[in-house]
Amino acid sequence: MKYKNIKKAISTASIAALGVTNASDSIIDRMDFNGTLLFYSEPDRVSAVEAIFDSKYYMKNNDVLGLKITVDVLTGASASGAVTTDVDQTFTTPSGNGLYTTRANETPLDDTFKDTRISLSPSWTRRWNSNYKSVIGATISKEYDYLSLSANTMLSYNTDDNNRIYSLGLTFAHDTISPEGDIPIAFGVMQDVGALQPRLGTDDTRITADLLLGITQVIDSKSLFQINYSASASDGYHNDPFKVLSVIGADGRPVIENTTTGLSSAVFENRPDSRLKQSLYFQYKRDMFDSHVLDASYRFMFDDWGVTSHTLDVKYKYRLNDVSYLQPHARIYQQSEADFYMPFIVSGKEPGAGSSSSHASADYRLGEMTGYTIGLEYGRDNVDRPWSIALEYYLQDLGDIKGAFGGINSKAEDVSAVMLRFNMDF
Amino acid sequence: MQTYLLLTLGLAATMCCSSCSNLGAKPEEKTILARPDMQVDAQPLTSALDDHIYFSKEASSGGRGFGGGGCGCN
Amino acid sequence: MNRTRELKYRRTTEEFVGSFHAMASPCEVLIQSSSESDARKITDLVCGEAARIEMKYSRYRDDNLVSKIHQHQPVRVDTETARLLDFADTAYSLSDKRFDISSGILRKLWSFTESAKVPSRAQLKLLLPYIGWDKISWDGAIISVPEGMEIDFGGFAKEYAVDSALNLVGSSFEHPVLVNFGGDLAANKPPISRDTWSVGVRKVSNSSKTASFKFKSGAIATSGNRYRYIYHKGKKLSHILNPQTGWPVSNAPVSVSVAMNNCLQAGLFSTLASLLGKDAEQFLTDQEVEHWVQR
Repeated sequence: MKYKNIKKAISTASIAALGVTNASDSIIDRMDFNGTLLFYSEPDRVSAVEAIFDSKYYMKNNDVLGLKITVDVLTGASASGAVTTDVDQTFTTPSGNGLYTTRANETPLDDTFKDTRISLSPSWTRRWNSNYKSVIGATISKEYDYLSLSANTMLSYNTDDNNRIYSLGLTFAHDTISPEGDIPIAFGVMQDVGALQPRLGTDDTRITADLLLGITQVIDSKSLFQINYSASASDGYHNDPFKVLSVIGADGRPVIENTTTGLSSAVFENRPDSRLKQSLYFQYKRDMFDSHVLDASYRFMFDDWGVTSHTLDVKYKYRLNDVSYLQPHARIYQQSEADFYMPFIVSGKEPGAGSSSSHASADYRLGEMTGYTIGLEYGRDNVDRPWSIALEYYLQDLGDIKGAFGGINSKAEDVSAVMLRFNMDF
Repeated sequence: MQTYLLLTLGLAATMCCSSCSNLGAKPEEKTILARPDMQVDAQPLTSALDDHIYFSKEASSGGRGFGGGGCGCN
Repeated sequence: MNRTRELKYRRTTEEFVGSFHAMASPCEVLIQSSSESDARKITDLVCGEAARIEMKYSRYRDDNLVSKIHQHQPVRVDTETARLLDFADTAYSLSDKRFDISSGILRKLWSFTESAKVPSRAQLKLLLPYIGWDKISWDGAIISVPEGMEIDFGGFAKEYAVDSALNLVGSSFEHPVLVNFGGDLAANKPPISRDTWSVGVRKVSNSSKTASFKFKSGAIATSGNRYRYIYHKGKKLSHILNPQTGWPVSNAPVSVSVAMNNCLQAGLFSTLASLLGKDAEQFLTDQEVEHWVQR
């Protein structure tokens, strides 16, 4: 006996039963939003609020379009580079329109510092196949006295067994700085309010090329590591237009430029017009006891300015239960000083104004430094709207002022900051 | 000199990776590695903030990815 | 919509796997996407659709359409239900009355648990008059089920849910997705990372070979009685009941898998083949459908 073939009839009936799906039935929200808000405060110095809003749009063809918006507002004061001494000092603000006095034994801070930055970073990610992924992005960042434009690309190759990823990244950036009070002349002497300041032009530029080579390797079912080599070459204006060096007299106190106003003698810094930074970065991640995560990284960096630095960063995500965790964080950073770092210039030894071949900076960020960060994050994940809150304390222990004599304080004041951070997925 | 040192280190690391063919996990062993918190950059926005802060307070930057930059803070 | 259901995710090298429990079965969604976020949205969608269909067509609820129909008054049904009843109607007539959605009441006499007893012929004789789709009034819009009778969408609701969920996914996403509700499965397109989806059919006994279906897209449905049977007079009785006799089908295969375009028809063919007992293979060969029968 042969059974009657009812395939076609059943097939037709089944298609009718399934009905016509209407594409407009789609009610899916296909975007992801993440946000973070940071409050940063250095007592008596800088306060900052920074917000990042990141949105991702997942396209039907698997491409991902991203847009990251960063807004930050900084207010407060930062160290001008002038020495701390046992006498009061008077300086002219960068705009040349005002003056300020720093009391004896206080670190000279330029307190006219206020800025708002807005940055937009669109990106496009495409997974070409199971091996190759590319990201193309750009950033436009604008603040009152600064404009940065950059383009970046990253190509990564995932091996067939998905145990290793090779990454190659390139970034090109073009930065323009047009500071309040214009670009100072290298080693030009700070003048009194109202007088003609040593200025060269209204703006200057710098270009930067970054290269990143990375390998991410799965070690076993619980751990993985990453090694990155990166190089960053930049050419152009590298000075901080607001940073000066004190000119110190034989008595170990700043030379007084103008006895009537009491203006201390200070010259504007000058850094090399190119820099090549290289770094090696190792990161190790391991799951502990099927729930906690150890995340440790070490970075070795050096550049042709003579700065060498070591950074050790450890986080431990301690899972309290299915949906919440505590994450202590510790970071230690240690850097050597740049070749041209000097806390002050002895009177008579200062290079002539405009001397571009001489380099000197008293910016403490180029001096010896050890930074310590400790923090604790509490977060909820594996929930509809993951969020976290973190409190961190950051301390910069600066090296002694080498060659301090007379009234110059030999110990640089520590810089400390408190950070409060909220993260949220919308 | 340091450049060569670094390149040598990098090459050594690469060769080490290539030679350790027993590294890795099978697809069915990757449940843990698939967890969001086991990704290399599990908290990208936190990383971005950190990079930005330390870029503006220290002489070093980058390493993890393209960190820092894009601002006049250094 | 599916807040009460526990959704689980894992990632294999090639895809995300979302899993949950619905329709009395473990359910899985395989998503080939680089976006975990998409994977979660797709799983939510599939789980939501399974929950919706389960709720709407479950015979165990007293607040749904099925319970309303079982109040034995004429009920005007929605278009989705109308389409399903039309399908049941077609299947009934094309299968020589073997596929009958009114046969569910047989479970009042047959329970396939360890301690279950086999009903007597007399008991069955009393029940059989209340079985038969042709006794139910269905005009394409209004259904009226006589007193004492019931209808049961359970015979194809799971297969329908697979297709419906996959259609829903396809209206918003283009990722390759495979939906698997307790062995009834369908895929919208071939996977990215390899040529075909590969689905293993579990080996039942030493005598039967392990099968592996490789397919690019389409559906596979399996009907079987691996775990559901009782012993009667030394014979293993299948849980597949012949609606005309009320008695388990003899020589029913352990499992019948059928591959077709959609899960609804694949499920129907695997059920019909099981109902034919020893003729299962013959029937499926004559239907010219890809199949795998385990005995």
